[in-house]
Amino acid sequence: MLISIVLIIIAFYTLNLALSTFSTDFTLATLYFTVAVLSFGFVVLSVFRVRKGYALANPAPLKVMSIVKCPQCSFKQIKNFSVGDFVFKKLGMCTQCGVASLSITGIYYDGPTRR
Amino acid sequence: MLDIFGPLGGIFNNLGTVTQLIFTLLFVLLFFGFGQKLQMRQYMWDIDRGLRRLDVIRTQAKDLALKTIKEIGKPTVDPLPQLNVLMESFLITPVDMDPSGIVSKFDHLLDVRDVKFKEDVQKMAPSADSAQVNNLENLVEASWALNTIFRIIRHFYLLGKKTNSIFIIIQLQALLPMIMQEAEAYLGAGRAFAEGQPIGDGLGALVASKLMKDKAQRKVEKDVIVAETTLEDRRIIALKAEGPGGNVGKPGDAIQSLLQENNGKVSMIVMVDAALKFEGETTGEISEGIGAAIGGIGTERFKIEQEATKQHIPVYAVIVKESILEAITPMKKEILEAGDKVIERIKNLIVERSKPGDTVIIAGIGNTIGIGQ
Repeated sequence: MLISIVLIIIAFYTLNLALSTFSTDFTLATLYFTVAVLSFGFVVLSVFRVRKGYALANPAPLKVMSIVKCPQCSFKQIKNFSVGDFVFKKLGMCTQCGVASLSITGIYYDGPTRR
Repeated sequence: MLDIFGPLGGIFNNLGTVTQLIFTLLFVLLFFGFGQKLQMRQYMWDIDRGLRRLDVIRTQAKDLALKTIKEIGKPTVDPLPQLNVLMESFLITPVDMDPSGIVSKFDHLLDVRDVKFKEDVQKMAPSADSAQVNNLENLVEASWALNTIFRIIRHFYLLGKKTNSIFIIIQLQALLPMIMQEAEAYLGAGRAFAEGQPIGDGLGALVASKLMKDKAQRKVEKDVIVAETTLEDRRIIALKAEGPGGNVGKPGDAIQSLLQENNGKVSMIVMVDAALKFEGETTGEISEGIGAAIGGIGTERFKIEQEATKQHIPVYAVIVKESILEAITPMKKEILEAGDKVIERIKNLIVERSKPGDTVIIAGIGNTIGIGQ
């Protein structure tokens, strides 16, 4: 924090010097300007580093799907996972064949590849 | 006035050269005199940033645990003080100066810890059923792990800062990316545990549950379900932890008791588990090997190895590769699809390594959260 304040003061001072010497000594003005830019750059970088530390990406909830199948017929449905679902949970009557054999056969995360 | 410097006066006449000289000197002083300090400062920034992220992650996990306990458990009193006590709980490992019998000591301690943890969670969530208690226990354990990681990292960071030890700081900074990855994985695991979704580690349990589906099941040992079936004319004894609550059971004890029950009749044991892949390997890839495929601190593996050695039974392992993040977050499609391929590999293995009519134990290892039987 203290370093950043000192650097800001240096940056403003050298910027002022750069502007005042610009018309008389271009080389010196360039040098002062470089110091000012470097100082500002360092402060900005420091601020961003701290901010990044606080900011944690809060990822959206994962898209988890449940596969519902009937072993008696070809019925297959993929639905969003809901709390209470589990693999081999019996769901009752199949809407297609009318036999009470509908169950969840798999639950998976459907999304981009993670590390 | 510059004449007093003699021939050097010319140099001082040139302000650009003077400035250049000053900057060069400053550079030399800064990088040779304070180079290590600057580097340490840079590392400390990185650790500080990581520590702040860890703090946010552990707070998120704790909030999620608290919210889920309140939603599912419907407690009459505020569970936060009890949760805070659990967050700071610890396990004192047995003395290893005389290692003889240490496995049973470890096993006993882990049993006591498990029972206490479960009872404490049950007290916090009185309305939760047994499967929900198991899920909540897993969730609280994930929060506990995050809290512990944060405390350890903070300890070494502050110690490094206090003692100005660059070696502590360098080690911490080098390990930080892996620690952050693990912490984020635990947070993902917390979300899966809160909703009871199957995780990547449940692959073994999934394979076993596919084998034992619609077969007569019985409970053996602690939280382990066993069912008999046939595969390629072999008698198969499939086992897994009791689901669908978050549970790993005690497969070591179960295999030991099954081997004793079928004294001399079991011709081979096949263990199915998820295993950590190396970077660059594909998720869902299947590998076969020899030995007891089971994680943990080794107590369960010890029991299996001991009994299998006693009865001269070969132990084979079929593993599915995945990363640490994939192992403890909701099961990926590739891992789910690997389940059927694993069954094919097991069929090939038992055809090659056993005779028709033989008895084979197939153990599905892993957390069975979100997987019934």
